[in-house]
Amino acid sequence: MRKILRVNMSDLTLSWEDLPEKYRFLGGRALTSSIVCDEVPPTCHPLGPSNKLVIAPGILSGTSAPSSGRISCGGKSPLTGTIKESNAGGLPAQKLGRLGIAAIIVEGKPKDAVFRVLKVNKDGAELIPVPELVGKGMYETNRLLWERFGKVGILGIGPAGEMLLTNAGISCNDPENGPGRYAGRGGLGALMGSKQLKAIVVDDTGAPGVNIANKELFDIGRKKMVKALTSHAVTSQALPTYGTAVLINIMNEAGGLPTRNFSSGRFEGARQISGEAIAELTASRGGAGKMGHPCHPGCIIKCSNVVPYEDGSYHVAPLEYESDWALGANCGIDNLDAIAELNRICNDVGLDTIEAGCTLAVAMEAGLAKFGDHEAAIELLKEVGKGTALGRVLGCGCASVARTYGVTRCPTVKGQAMPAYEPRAVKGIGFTYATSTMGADHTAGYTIAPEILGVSGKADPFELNKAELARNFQAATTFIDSTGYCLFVSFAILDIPEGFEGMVESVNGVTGSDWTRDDVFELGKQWLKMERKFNLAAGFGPVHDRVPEFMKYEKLPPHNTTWDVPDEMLDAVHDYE
Amino acid sequence: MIRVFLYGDLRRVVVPPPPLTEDACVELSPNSVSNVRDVILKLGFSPAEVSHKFVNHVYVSENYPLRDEDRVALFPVKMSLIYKQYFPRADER
Repeated sequence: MRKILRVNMSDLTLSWEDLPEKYRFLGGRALTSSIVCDEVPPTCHPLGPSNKLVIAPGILSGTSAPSSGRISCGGKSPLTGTIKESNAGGLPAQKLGRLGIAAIIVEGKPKDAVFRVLKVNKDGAELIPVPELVGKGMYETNRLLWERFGKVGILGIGPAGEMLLTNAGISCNDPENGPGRYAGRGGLGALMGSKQLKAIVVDDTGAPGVNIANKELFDIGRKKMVKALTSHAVTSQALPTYGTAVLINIMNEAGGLPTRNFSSGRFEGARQISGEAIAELTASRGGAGKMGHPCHPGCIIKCSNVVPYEDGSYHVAPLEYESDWALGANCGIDNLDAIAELNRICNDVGLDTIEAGCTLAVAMEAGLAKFGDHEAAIELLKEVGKGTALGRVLGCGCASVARTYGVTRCPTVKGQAMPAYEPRAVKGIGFTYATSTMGADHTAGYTIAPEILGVSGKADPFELNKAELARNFQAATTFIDSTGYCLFVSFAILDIPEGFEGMVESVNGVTGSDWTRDDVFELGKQWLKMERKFNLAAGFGPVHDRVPEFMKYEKLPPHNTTWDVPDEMLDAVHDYE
Repeated sequence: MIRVFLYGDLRRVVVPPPPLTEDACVELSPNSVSNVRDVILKLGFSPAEVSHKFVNHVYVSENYPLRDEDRVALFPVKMSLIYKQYFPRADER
């Protein structure tokens, strides 16, 4: 039976619990959100003793299912005040899964000022004071932890998390021990910092492995998934060739690439920072540079990359679409080396790159630097790690800077910065930003065709009511985020029905459930309802399911459109309640 | 003239191929093509290998009619990394 490890930071005790029957089939987001809803008072202060950090590998994490090494971190968000699940790749999920750990719950608050590391292995768990790591960036922290504990999985926080800054994320290490795989969104690094937990190290040496209820069914599903992922053009060719930044040129052509703090949908420097440009740069410099890099063993999509310095040595990994856009186009910066450096600083200090890029853009709008001035942007971002007063304002995110400097063009929903798709140009994603339980979040509703879900029997997805579309996307995404599969599997299962079947069968094979394709949607809906109930109790209602006001009156070039979706249509997204 | 911007593998028809940090663009006479499908065929592509099609930054179907001075952008299927459902697709102008 899978276990829960409960870590009480108030009295520094550790306890092991059997996974309760009601959680038996759950993993990832479904499990973190269920525990948060059951155990965290919705009105608690996110950095106080009543909030809990919940970490759960996906159901399939640790198995041989392809691209299934995702981990969910959950709690009440220090950034938004809503429930939060933030999801990452890297090493920790698979190692936790193989140890039979369904979740780690970190609760309470230490009475001393000591930061600790939680060490987990097959023999148990232990809290270890680590004064020597306080103030250290994530690159140095990871290096020192591998020196001490071997090639462990690491979840850690940088100085931003230690300082309780609300844009602090939780880093997960990749196979080379780089810190760039982040559960970045929502400030959960600050929650971890409030527990004075610098890192969790996971050693799966001698671990029993994931218990699989029906090996035959699991294998059938796994093979279908492998076939879908290796035959689909996007998951087998585009992502490993160009990385996720392949989207830069597409969104720019669509007039939906937010530029200079969401003042335009077109960036004249797009081709210089595109996925194609990154691929060319890594190929021409050689050395450590590479495309097609897996963020965890067993990932067959390999969308990640390693971007080298000019001399070929390692600079940063990965440089993804969202980071490339946020620190690039959204700041008017078209210099890939500068963007890579900004990304490296985020990884080291422990910041979410989307929020950091939007923060810098608002700071530029406020006059703290000029758009396009990458040197000034780098200096501003360094302020966060130094812990200066300005750095703390910047480290608390986009809305923090907008409030401090009186900037009305603040691209946030529920206090969380928007990702790289302009809602005025791409209305469907605006529905997701506005109505997600997590604040503006592209991953909250990025998947699953209406055809697969059979919504309303409409053949042409372009004619679908966007509220219904957003609802179904969010429900299916919630399910995928619970499996451990990377959200990018959706490209393949969108087009290949056998792949979708394989996802469900592999999950059933592990847990012994008998879920069907229809259950994917129904379960996702149930879990969304649960999250929305938490948010309602925390003080968030339909009035918070809105895009920022400036989008209603500022026309976005080149289409010169505003956000003209009636509020009633947004409210209809969750009218199944 | 109609300018056609090409991405990914579709850049192959521009000779010599420009660096990936530069545009791959061909110009076509408006008299030689009447819609996006004509452009695809005239450049020697199979319609099945072209996914996202934009005209003046509007996501369009193959049937979308073209005019002089239009900007067309074509992406191959293997770069179709955003869900088509998010875009309103224009058939007419």
